Amino acid sequence: MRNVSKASGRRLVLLVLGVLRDGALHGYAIARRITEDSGGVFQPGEGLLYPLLHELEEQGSIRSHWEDAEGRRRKVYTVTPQGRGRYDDELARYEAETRATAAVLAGTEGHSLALG
Amino acid sequence: MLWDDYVEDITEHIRSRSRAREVRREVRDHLLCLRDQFSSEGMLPADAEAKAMEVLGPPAVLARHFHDLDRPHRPLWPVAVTVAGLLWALGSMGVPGAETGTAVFLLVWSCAWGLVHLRSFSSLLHALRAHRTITSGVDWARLIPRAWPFAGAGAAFGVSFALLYGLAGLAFFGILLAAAVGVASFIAAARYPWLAEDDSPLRHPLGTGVAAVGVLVVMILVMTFIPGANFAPAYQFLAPGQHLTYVAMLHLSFGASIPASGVIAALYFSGACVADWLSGRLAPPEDAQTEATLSVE
Repeated sequence: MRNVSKASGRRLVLLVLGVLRDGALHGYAIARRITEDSGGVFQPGEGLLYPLLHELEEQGSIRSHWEDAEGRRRKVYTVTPQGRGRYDDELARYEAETRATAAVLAGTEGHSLALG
Repeated sequence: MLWDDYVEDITEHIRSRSRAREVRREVRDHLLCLRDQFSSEGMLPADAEAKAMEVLGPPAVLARHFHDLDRPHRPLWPVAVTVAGLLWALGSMGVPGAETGTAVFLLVWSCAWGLVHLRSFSSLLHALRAHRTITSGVDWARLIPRAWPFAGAGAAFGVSFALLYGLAGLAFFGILLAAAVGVASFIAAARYPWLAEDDSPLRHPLGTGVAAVGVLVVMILVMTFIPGANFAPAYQFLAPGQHLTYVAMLHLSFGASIPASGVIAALYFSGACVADWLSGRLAPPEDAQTEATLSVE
């Protein structure tokens, strides 16, 4: 899926794997959890969440099973050991990018202050 | 009823029936959850249902993403059947070894396709962390797509060449078959989902096709200089029109657009002509052409 290779897609992978590290969830619950925990800042395209979940499952990062809940059959996802490793990789990359971005912006701000 | 159409629009292009069934149930469950959520917020049922579909997004967009995801699950049997049909036609024309070749082709095809699915290859590279400039499994995953299609094509070509030409003594037919397997495995490998992690031009159907033609041209050039190889019978059967038809069908089987297939076919034919010229057989003997025409008739 092309969107995964983009920055927003990578962040969504990180968020999904991070949410699933806390326990098994179905698609709707994953979307709600991301939206609520981020205070509404991150609102994953809910329809696009499913192709991503299927892709992550195919890659072995998560696995799924069906279970009955509230009178419905739901597909519930859990993260695999391989997925935890990927989460660590993605998190390390995210932190490095965040630090680098902060450094660049700090330099820009300092330059502006010096001018001011 | 509206939901049924919506869900059907999303899943109708998913080739894997089991995946389509699962997606249908998941999307429907998600719609129900959203409807309940919006209803609890005071929305009328009809409005809540419409809002649920709006939140999930346009079905065409979702379908496209699932369609991309579905590619690796395609058994690509249209391609296999096309090639097998070509071989069967050759056999019916009296080419020696065609029946055996057809069976071998299908066997090699299945093996090559199985190899493409070996996910352990990715895990192994990840576990090794052998290269000091590569620090994470994600980096590995981004590198694999660039190497895998070429490695897969080379391996498939080598194995089938050894089996068909070296062991079975199928001469030009074995070489031709080995090239077909090599190119087919290249395209199959280039379509593998690992590419989804990558922005490689191979991901684009046109990019895949151009690269496949490049691999084919290299194969033809290599084969051209094999001592004792006799391509004359092959060119009797694989006339230019058949070249174009075959490659266009091959490429279309992977969901490429018709213009892209036209470009691929033109490039393929150009490569074949160059190889033909290099081998000194640009113009097949007239009697051979006549024989081929008669045998086709």
